[in-house]
Amino acid sequence: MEIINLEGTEDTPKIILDKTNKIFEISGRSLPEDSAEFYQPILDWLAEYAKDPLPETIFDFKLEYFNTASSKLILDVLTSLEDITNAKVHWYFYEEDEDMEEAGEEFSELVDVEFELMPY
Amino acid sequence: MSEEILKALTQLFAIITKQDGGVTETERDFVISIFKEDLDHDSIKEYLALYDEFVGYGKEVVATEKKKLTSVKDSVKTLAICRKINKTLTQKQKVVVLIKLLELVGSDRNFSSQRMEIINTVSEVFNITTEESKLVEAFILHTSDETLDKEDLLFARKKTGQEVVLAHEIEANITGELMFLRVRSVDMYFVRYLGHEEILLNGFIIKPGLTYQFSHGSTIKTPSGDALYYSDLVRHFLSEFETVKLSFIAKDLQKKFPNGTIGLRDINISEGPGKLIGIMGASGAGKPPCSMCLQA
Repeated sequence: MEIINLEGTEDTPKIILDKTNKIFEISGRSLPEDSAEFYQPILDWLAEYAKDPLPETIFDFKLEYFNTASSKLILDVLTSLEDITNAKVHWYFYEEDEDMEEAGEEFSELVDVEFELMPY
Repeated sequence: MSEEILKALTQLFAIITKQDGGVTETERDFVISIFKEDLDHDSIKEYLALYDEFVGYGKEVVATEKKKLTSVKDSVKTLAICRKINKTLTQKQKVVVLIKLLELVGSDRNFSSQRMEIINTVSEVFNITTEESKLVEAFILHTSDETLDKEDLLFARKKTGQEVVLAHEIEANITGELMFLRVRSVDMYFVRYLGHEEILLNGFIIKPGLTYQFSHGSTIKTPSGDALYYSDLVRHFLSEFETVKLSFIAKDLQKKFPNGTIGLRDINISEGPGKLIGIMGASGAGKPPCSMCLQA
């Protein structure tokens, strides 16, 4: 599968989707102009990946901030992980960032995917 | 509405009005008016206390120079609330919720970016198309000094002289204007009055600026004595899409039954498109034969 490797910007997150190197990561800030458009390639990639996933998939979220429009797409990404056997989410958050911790907790209740909250 | 949904909506109102400077008295009063529609006096107090807690009413607001963005926690909570609403409410009820949210931010005309972003996301999660939610937004935010000309919006007002005739406009003897919105996806109609007269909707005076559902069988009555019925409104909306306007003329209609008796004679009737007419007569006068002949 091809690799998605996007550098993060002020408004868009860093994305690494690399099956070969087993890296699945969304990090940084997410406030794109058009969230649906930005996240569509990621959703397409995951749909393709789901057809032949690795024995285990660990998806890392290391977000500093995301806006409401992005949150919906992040939920879509998490929902697509439900279709991948043995997928797990590592939800990183700065230990003082209660909001991000709670956001992770809320997300974990909305999807049927194993969540591990990882303070740093 | 169930307690669970009311709690969810209370939280949603709070999340939205918390943004961009916090809630104003006007907005809080609007929330109270929403509660009054569904709750008794004691319950209103209970839900208002919940709202105040969620929105931080009465707490010291620390003024910051930087524009405060919606917290990630609030964003995800919004999604959770919408999920709950999706599972429980019908699509029609969801459209009404969207209207209430827009009216809420409209009550003090504070349509700031964070708030509108939340409302747009809610609309998406509710599976309301962008086109339709933009239309609803335009309807609720419209003020008299703007010109608005869109499909699925109808204006009723007094026409004076040389005005440009808009496609979606009907004549009405009122000061100000009555606006009607058609939400096609759920086949619902809504009305708003901008003006100072006492306009009656189903017998009660409607408050200017507020949105009311204009449902099956509803009537609007103006002080000048004009009446607008639900069927008239639907006809106005639908007539814009008719390519063939049907009318009929029946002249000297006569009907003889197989046994020779005359069922109808000297029937002359004609009517234009979109009218609702009633055929009345004593028993045996020939009503069914008349309508059957006209249908043929």
